[in-house]
Amino acid sequence: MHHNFIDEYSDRDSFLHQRDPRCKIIIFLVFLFLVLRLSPGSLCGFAGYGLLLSALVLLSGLPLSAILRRILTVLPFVFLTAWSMFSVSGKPAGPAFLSIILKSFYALVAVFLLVSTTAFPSLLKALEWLRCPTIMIRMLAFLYRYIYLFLDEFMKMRQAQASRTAARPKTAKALQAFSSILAHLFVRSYEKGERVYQAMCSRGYNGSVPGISRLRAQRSDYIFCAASFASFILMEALCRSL
Amino acid sequence: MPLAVEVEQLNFSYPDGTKVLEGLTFAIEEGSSVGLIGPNGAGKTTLLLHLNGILKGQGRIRIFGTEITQDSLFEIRRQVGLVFQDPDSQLFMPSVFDDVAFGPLNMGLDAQEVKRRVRGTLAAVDMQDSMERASHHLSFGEKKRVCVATVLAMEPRLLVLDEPTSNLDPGHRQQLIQILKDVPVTKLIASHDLDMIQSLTEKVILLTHGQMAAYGPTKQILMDRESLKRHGFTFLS
Repeated sequence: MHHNFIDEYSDRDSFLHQRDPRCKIIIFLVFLFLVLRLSPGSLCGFAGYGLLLSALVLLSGLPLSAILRRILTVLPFVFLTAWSMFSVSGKPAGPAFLSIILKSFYALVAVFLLVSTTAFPSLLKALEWLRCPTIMIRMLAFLYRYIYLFLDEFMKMRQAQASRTAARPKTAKALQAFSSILAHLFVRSYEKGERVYQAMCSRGYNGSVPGISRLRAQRSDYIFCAASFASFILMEALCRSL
Repeated sequence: MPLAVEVEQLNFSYPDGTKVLEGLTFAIEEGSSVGLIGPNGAGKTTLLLHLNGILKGQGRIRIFGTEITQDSLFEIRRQVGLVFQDPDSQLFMPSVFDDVAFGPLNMGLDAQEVKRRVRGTLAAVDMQDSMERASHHLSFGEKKRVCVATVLAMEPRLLVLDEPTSNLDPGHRQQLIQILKDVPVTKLIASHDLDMIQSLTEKVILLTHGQMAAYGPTKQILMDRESLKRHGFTFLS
């Protein structure tokens, strides 16, 4: 398998990697909530949460280049959305525009940190524990299991097509070949779905997918949670007093 | 000797009318290992899918004396462990542990027993260190071994395997053959790998065009090269 982009860095061993996924999800959700409710002029808030996020980046041990690479692929869309909001309303951009960009940037880094420091199956277990709808978890689980497989299939078909292409094809021909690949991919994924269902049935599937939670919070997880919440409270109090 | 599988006059056609199985009748004794050979399209996989009620043709199938009906389906599936040819169809959960635990959990076993079975079967296929790995990160040989573990964890009385050694390199193939040799249950193994069939089974069913061309001792069937050639097998020497 040649692809591994969802949780590419999740097999590392940093402080953040070792933390219980439930604890991380809760902290990141609170962090996102607090950042999203910052007013555009709250310099203290942006600086403070920026510092907290930087600390989390350090604790994650992830390469900065990897974080920036991911963020930069999404940031243009954020710029475009923010710009269109202000151009439609006719209001001057200024701090509000900058605030949207910063909030999006913080949110993207936080989500990237969460996904990259947690193995996807553990993330799903944590979501299950947090009573996330089962249908959503199952869909995410199948997506995670099969997206790489279909990408691999797609790549092989593209290679087979390229190896039988002797001259640069015209755009219409290339599009035709591409659409044919997509159609084949759809049929194969449909057939694969049927076989997976047969495999599930043969192991007693009766409509529900039971699981065993093997998540175990340690003392360091509680300390990490407490320290994070203490930082949030301190930050809020400090910014209000200024 | 009690019978593990009894198939009587089994017929099956696909919705487009293509006949796949025609009047199949045979029985497999409990505790024996039987090979299922035949050219591509002979109906091997289709037959295997009938043995735990995934496909339903005309005719009667009894597993350890119990006829496959809608009411007995879950009981049958507890007893018949089916290993699919493509490990990516068999391994559908996000992690190896979850995949191996899937069957035992569906059987209603408690968490402790499920964990014991998962550890035990993964150790039996030498994959005990890969419990937390995602299936798509495993090599093909590892996937095949985990596939066997997913079924062994249900402690089936009949193990049905579809092309267990296909696409495996010689080392992993030998490893899997040894694992299967050590499993003390009734086995039905469909394969083109005649060497493996010879080393694992005592009897062989030769299937062509959905009909049983021969059923007898493995040595006798595999030695009859003329008969095998007539039924689509090609030999280099």
